[in-house]
Amino acid sequence: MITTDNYEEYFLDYIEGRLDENSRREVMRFVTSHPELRAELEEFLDSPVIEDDGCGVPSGFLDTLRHTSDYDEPDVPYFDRLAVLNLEHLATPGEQLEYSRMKYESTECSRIAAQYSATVLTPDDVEYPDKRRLIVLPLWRRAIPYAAAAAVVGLMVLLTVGRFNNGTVDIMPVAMQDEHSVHSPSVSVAVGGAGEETTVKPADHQQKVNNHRHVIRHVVDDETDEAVAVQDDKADEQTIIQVVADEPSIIQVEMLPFDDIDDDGTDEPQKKHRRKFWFACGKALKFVTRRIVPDVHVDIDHDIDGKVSRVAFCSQNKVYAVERK
Amino acid sequence: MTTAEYNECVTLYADGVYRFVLKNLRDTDDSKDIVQEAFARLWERRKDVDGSKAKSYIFTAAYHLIVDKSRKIHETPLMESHDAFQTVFRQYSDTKEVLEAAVAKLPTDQRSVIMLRDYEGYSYDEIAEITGMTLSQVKVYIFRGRTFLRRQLENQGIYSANMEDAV
Repeated sequence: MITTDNYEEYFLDYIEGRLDENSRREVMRFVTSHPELRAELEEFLDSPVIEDDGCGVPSGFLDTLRHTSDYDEPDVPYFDRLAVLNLEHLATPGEQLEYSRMKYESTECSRIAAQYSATVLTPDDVEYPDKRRLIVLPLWRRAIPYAAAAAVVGLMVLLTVGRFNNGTVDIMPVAMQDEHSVHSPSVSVAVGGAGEETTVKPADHQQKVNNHRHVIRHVVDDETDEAVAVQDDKADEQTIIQVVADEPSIIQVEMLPFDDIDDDGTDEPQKKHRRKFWFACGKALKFVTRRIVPDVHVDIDHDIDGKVSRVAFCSQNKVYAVERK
Repeated sequence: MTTAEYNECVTLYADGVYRFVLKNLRDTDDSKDIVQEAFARLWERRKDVDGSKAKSYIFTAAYHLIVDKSRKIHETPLMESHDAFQTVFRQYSDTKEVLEAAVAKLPTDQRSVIMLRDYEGYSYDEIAEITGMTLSQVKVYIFRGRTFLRRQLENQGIYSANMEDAV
């Protein structure tokens, strides 16, 4: 079928007499429907047609298309232009014909044409690696990672709390103990293992008049005058024991970071640490705070490593003890 | 443009834009940034951009970002000396490698129009719209670019010894 893209071949075959009757009629129909190309065909027909020598292309035909007689030295810049136009599909039919003719006749032009054909870039497989990041997801899908992260954090918190609460301390009523306890109207503290009682005085015994609270900021050994510090194996921090007695019936026990106590032992422990550790100590100590324990006595036992193993609170006829399991 | 259409654009065009930018800048990190920026601009203007024009919009944004980036990094001069260029080329043996090295030597404008033409199959009018050039400029740049590339192939002896096979 003849089209505007291949009509030159048909025109050439037509004037060379290589078309059968049907094809010749098709050419004429094409020219009728494309009057603008009729002149081009007539121009071909005006050229002298040379007998086919049997080699396909008439031996002298191409000579008829030559404009000059010096084609042994082709006009390369001119051919460059033709080649690019042809490559870019911008050449007119006449330019296409000229391009084909020069390429056929000149080895130099043929080589240049091949080089131009090679300049067409072929896309290689390049993949953008972050394509997924460019995709905009619906809101509910965007929330999934955050929800998952929140779930993980929540789980970790639960596990952490469980770890601290799970058997680290316990509280139980024990038998009445009198011999190792030192009574006082407010608060008394005793530190030491069974049979080696060490009486400890409140180093910074502060009375708040308004609410009648007695606070022992830290526990100091009588002989060394140093705060009693222990290493808590769960919190992995140095701590001291602080006993707070709310007159007349509430007692709270906190284990505080030892670093919070200045050398003079008078500074208030940092609240955040206190709360943190309070939280870590968990509900067992909260249980203690709910007990009514007037006239408190405290016994603190240490294990062989110096860690607090037992804290006992003595009140009138009962003793409550917090023991590390 | 809807979110779904935008995502479709990412799927269809991200690779092409990335290739276009990467071949221009030859730096993966800068190329990723530019692709991301181009799509970010598309997303910001999604209400104004018609879905059928999205590809053109992305390539336009990418092209201007390339030009800006090239200006910042002091682009390689248009044509290096012949001897130096030949020295560079001697290490290549494959036509594709020679051609890629030659493309890298093209000025940004010429390189871009040829890539848009060959890689993406854009028409001259579309290339003019993307790059902001006139139609004549596009034609001239493509002609100059192709001529430059052809001469680099010539300098490297591509299609000279095996001429018979090539033609």
